[in-house]
Formats: sequence, C-alpha cells, structure tokens
Amino acid sequence: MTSTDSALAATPASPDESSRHGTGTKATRVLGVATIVSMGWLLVFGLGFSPADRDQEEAVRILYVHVPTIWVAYLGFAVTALCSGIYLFGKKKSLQLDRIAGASAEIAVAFVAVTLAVGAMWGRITWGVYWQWDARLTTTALLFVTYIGYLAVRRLGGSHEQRAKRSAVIGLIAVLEVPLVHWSVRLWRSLHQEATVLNPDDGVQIDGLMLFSLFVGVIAFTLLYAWLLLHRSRGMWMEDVLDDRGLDDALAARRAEAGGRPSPEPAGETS
Amino acid sequence: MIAFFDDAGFILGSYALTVGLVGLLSWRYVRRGSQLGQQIPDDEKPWR
Amino acid sequence: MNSAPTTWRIARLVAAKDLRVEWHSRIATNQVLPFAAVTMVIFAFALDSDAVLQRVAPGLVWLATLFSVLVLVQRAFAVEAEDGALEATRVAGVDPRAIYLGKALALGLQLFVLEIVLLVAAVVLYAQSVPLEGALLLTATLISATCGLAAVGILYGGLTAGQSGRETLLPLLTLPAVAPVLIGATRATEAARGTAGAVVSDGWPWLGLLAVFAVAFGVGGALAFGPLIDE
Repeated sequence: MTSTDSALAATPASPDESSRHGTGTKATRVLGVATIVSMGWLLVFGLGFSPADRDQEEAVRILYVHVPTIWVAYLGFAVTALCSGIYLFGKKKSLQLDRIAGASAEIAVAFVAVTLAVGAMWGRITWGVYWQWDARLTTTALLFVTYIGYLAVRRLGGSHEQRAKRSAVIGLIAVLEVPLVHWSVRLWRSLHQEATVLNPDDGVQIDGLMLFSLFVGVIAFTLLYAWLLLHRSRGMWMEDVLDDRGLDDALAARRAEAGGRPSPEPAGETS
Repeated sequence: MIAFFDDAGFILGSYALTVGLVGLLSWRYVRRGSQLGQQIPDDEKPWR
Repeated sequence: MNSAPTTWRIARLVAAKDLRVEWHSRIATNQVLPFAAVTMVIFAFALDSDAVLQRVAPGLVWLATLFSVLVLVQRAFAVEAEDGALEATRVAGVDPRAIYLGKALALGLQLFVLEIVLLVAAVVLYAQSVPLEGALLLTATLISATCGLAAVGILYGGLTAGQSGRETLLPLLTLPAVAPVLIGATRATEAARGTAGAVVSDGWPWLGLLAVFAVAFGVGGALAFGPLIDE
C-alpha cells in the first residue's frame, strides 16, 4: 500500500491491516505503559501504604483520586483556552490547535465527571450527604455543564474553519464565565474545606506518605491526560480528513449527476 | 466496624468507578482511532 | 462605518426594527406573557404553601424571567433566520457589534416589561410588597439583571440561530451562564422587599455582581458576536 492514489479514491479502500494503523505510535505506547504503571502505584499507595487520616480516617483515600482528577481537568480547560486564544489571535490559523482544544476539553469533561462522582462518595462518608451547596462544588457542577455546552457547539456542523472559530470564541467565553459563576456562588455560600496543600500555613502538617500518594495520583492522571490527548487529537484529525473526503465525494457525485454542471455545496456535512 | 465496611464500599467503589470510567474512555478513543485508521493510509498520517 | 455614533445609530435602528416586528406578530404579548404568568401559577401548585411561596417569591419571579428569556431569544432570531435576514445584514457590511447591541436592546426592553408584569403578578398572587426604601434597589436590580440576561441571550441566540438542535442547545449554553444573574437578582430582590429579615443594604453587593456581569457579557458579547455569526 504505497500508492497515494488510494487516498484520492472515491470509496474508502479495502482495509489493509498491515499498513493502516490507528492512533498509536511508539510515543503513545511508552506513555501508556508509564500511565498503567503509575496507576498501579496509585492503587498500591492510595489503598495500601497511605495511612488513615486523623479526622477523615479512611475516606482520605478517595482524595488521592478526587484531587488529581480535578487538577488535571483544570489543566485540560487551560489548554483549551490557550489553544482557542492562539487560534483566534495568532497569525497562522492551524486547525490542529482547534483539535487539541476540543480533545482537551473532552478529556477534561470526563475528568470532571469522575471528580464529581468520586467527590459525592467522599461527601457521603465525611459529611453524611452526597452533595452540599457550597461554592466550589456548585462552581464545578456549572463548569461541567458549561463545557458540555462547548462540546455541543463543536458538533454544530459547518466547515472545519467555522467550527474552529466558533468553538474558540466559546472556549474563551467560558473563561469569562467561570470566574463570574465562582464569584456569585461564593457570595452565595461557602463551607467547603479550604485547600490544604496549597496554603500550608495553618500549622497542619500533611503526612509525608499521604502527600506522596497525592503526588503519585497527580503524575498518573497527568500521564493519562497526555496519552488520551494524543489519541483523541489524532482521531479528530482523521475525522476531519474523512469528512473532507466525504464532502469531495458528494460534490463529485453531484457533478456527475448534473452532467458536469457546477452544483452548490451541500451544507452541514460534518459528523 | 460496620461503619468501616460501609466506608470501604464507598472507597473501593470510588476507585472502581474511576478506573472503569477512565478505562472506558481510553478504550473508546483507541478503538475509534483504529477504526478511522483503517480508512486512511499510513503515509498520510502526520504522526507516522 | 465603525465610528461609535454610527454603531449606536444602527443599533437603535436594529432595535426599533426588532420591536416593530415583535409588536406586529403579537407573539410576545399573546404567548410569552401568558406563558410567564402560567409559570407563576404552577409554581404555586408545586409549592403548595402560602408561607413557602411568600419566602421564595423573588426567586420564582426571576426563574419565570429566565424561562421567558429562552423563549424570547428564540423569537428574536426566528424572525431573522426565516428569510436569511441576519446573513443579508452581515453581507451588507453592517457592523456586527451594532446588530448585537440593537438586538440586545430590543430583547432587554421586552424583558423589562415582562419583569414588571411578573412583579405585579407576585404582588397579587404571592402576597408580596415592596417597602419604599427598597424601590431604588429593586429598580437598579431590574435594569442591571435585564442587561445581563439580554447580553447572554443574544450572544448564544446568535450562535445557535438557524442550527439544528437550537431549541436544546440554547438553554444548555444559557442557563449555566446566567446562574450568577439568577443568584444576584434573587438576593437583591429579597433585600429590597425584606424577605426573611433581609435589609436593603444587603442588596448592594449583589447589585455590584449584576452590574459587573452585565458589563462583562455586554463587552464580551459585542466582540464575540461577529466571529460567532460569521460564515
């Protein structure tokens, strides 16, 4: 399968297993192995070696998942905003930036879902209820819905450039929206316990093994994020290429039908 | 003791849920990647 | 073309056109207003307690407003999308900021009338009253919350106009974005009428939130509207 003709062929060529690979490369395999190893460490330290907390007792183990997932989700949203900004204001309008923004938001939304679900279990043990209407929880829930909206905007259809521009704008508006939401909800009420890792001046010492377990969690989920981002952005690249090809085919078919007359573009041909 | 087992259910459940969700997402991405990859020759893919 | 007076003049023209179209269609008065009113009635069915109703009345007024925003925004763009008028004005080179401001102005005026009607309904149905010292706070709250709602509504309305699935996408985008308005306007209204021991001075920080929200989304929306509706 060295001929480039097949790329231009109207129908998808017959699958040739040996030369048509998916989104995996050596880099993703190395990352994948590292992710699995660090996840294994997280399980061993989080569920095994890490001691029970004085106040939270065993429930603290949930935080080794809860905290890293939301941190990495924030990282993902930051990447989305950054790529959106570069796409909108940069000179070179690279669709790859748009695809990275989209893939990153998708993964981050999944991570927020994990954070919320796992956090509800932590709340059930520690507070006795799954949910509390405090500032950080409520903001996170609204953040979740906001980015689900962003992902829906990405699927609106139209050309790739249209999608890229639209979603970049929405990606930046979300950055405007989230601080406003957070501010309003904080004015409304707040009883979430303050982040203890980031402001350690209140005299409470975090046990070394606990901090290490949290650290392992952060590493594991960051590696996972990178691995997923590579796979997903490559998948999105292929979706776009196939989409373009489908559009070309439809155009060619329409021209053949009309006997060579140029025909209007079929609109909204995206997945 | 009973409270401990109650908590343990939630703790193990939270880990299981995380691994499950994350695994499902990974599996879907990789599968979708290989499905799409079947339709495009390797020498067109920028990452190969 | 892009100088500020011209932009403002075009915005007023767009607003006048929108309001005229809306007035002739009578849908806002004959359908949206009754819809909002019936919402107020069914809230009473759901809550089924005079004491609870009196306590939560300010929130219900703003909730009914929020639902009506979604309907009115769909209306504001249904008129345009039917004959591709939005496209036509864009192709004609009209400044998108002027279109945005004009449409937001028209929506804001409709909303303001609707809010007055809902407040009257709350006074009648939920036994509400506003003490005189709260009147200024209430008026300021109405204006700034309306500006914020109109800014968000027109921005996302323009994005979803003419798209398939707009009926569901619009609330998905709008409701989380206007959550600060719902919180701020409800608390400020409670302060203005003294619900549950609130005093008028409690309301001013909330008014600040509403004002910042309106300005942020007004400016952001005016800048973003062009790229969003662009081909």
